[in-house]
Amino acid sequence: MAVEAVAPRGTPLLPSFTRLSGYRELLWTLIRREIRVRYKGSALGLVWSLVYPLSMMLVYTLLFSVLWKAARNIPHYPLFVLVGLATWGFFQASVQLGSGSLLANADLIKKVWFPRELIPAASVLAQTTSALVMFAILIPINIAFVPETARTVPLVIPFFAGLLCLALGLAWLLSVANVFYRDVEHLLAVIFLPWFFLTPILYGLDQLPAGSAHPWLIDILRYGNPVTPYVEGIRAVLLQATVPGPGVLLYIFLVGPGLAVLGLSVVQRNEDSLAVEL
Amino acid sequence: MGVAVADGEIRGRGIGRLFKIRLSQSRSLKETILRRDLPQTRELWALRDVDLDVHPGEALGIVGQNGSGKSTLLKLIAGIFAPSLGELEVGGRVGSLIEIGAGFHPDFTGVENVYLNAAIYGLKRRYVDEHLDEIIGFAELEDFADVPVRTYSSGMYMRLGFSVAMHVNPDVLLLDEVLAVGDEAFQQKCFGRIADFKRAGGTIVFVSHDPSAVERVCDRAVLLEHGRVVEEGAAVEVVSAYHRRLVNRATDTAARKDGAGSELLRVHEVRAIAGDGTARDRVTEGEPVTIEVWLYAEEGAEGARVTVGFRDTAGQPLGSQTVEGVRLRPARLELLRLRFPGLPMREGRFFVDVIVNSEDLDAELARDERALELSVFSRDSAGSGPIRLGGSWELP
Repeated sequence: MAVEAVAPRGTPLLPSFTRLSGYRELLWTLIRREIRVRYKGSALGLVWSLVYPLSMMLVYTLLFSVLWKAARNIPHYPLFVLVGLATWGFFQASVQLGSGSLLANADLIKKVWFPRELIPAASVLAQTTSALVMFAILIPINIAFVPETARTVPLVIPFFAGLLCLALGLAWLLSVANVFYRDVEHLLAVIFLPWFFLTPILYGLDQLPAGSAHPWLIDILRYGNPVTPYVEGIRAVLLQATVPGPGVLLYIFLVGPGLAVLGLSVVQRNEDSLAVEL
Repeated sequence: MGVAVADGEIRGRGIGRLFKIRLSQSRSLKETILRRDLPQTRELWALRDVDLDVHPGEALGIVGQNGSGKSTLLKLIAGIFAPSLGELEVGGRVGSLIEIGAGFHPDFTGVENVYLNAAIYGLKRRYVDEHLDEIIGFAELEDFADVPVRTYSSGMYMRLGFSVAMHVNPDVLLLDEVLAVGDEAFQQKCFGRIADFKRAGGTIVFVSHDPSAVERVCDRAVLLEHGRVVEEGAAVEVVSAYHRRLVNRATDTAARKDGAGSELLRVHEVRAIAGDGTARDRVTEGEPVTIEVWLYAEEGAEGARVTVGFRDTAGQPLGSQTVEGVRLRPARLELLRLRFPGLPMREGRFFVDVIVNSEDLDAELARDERALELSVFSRDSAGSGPIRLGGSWELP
């Protein structure tokens, strides 16, 4: 028999940030725990998280650039793929791990009160470590090959922050959903592969040969997929030394933070049910 | 919102907590979408019309049988649930020992887990830095501080968890059945620490179905039955009211003859009495235990065979012991005791079955499987596995 909560008094629609004060220590500790577990306390663990995108970059370059020549109109294809893989890798890992995190910490949630949103947040934030190292390696190489990007590179920081918000928001929403429906996590694992191919990681939406014949399709791929504007934005400032148009900028700074606020409010509003359902 | 409460004060008015019990088990999105029918639910008031007033420095005990709403009330005070009805205000910082060691990570060392656990209780790192030796010392784990806790015995685990929780210095301390574990000496230390806490003006809410522990810790108590407060007053009086009600219920159910067994004979209750004379479902390795079997035979019985068997959680029988020629007087609750100087178990959860057969084994008169669930906690980490070997070493 499953037990379900009967919602108590109404909670405000907007999430509360004040209740997080005094819990910075816990957030740090949870992040450290997450990193410790992920990398098993070894520096090699962090290296492994870099080896994967680098080796995939080599494979994709060999296939699409050297052999198939499909990517010949994309300059600096290895860098292009690597930026895409680093961005996507962070997004997928943080959403996937974040969405299972509440369930994985059921014991804690049933027994002690603390702001529950910290658990998925720690999962996501722990993922930034490998992304930060990745970008720390990438950016100097990048400036060496495409020197003119030096003046747009700093924009990576706000764009990545936007992506972080998007990942946080999704992790919060999905981690709650996963408590009510235990198959959400598995469903997500299935969705991520097609999602990866529909996101311009291995290709650019503007470089697709038949793209101009189906402009509406390109628009759907660009704006229907919340990750795409972030990938394109980060690529534009890292590789093309251009700043994306106001549409993409608006998207980057509205969708991610908006989803984060929504996700946070969903976690807080469902706090009572979480302790009951877990 | 009501009037603000002082630190350490708890004030509840007309608290009610409703749960919906889903009768079907569907928890998958796929099934929910495919079947498209809403699961049937039944409403259950775990608590109703509960008023609560606890003053700073007071210790309140909550007694009642399983399912009476004790734990729900404790979780409401801890802020884990919110009341569906009424108002509840708790002043100051709440420390809960609802589950000792919740949030320990097996791969982390004792010290690392202290920091993790302390952060969950909202403690600052600097505070833990200052009190680390004290925490480890209180838990008597100086030699194991830098070893991953997965190598700890369950007793060591408990000691560390209790020690951290006692150093949280809350205004309100919530205790849930946590004192029934660990060895006698450490238990005394815990009671001492709790008494210090109370003397220093801390508020305690203590939930237990071990009434003697409630009498020991608490000044005042409430008795819950089906989510309502049915008795309230001095701890000693509430506990004796609880006993009276239990006995009355025993005769009620005996008259209804709906226990485990036939019309003529049934197993009324099975309890484990630990070395200190209290009924418990958790014991420490090697502690003396008496299994009490209460039988009720409407027309009496001559020469019955009573078997008490132990099983592990997978249902594998571990061993049983039978006594023959048991005489039961008609229409009375009769008590059989099976004494163990120390159970041959080291660690784990076990189930006790009770079977009553006729003299010639022709008929099974009563059977109560899993009549009792018993958890055994190991004393130290110098061993492993569920069986207590109890050998003694002779070294070269």
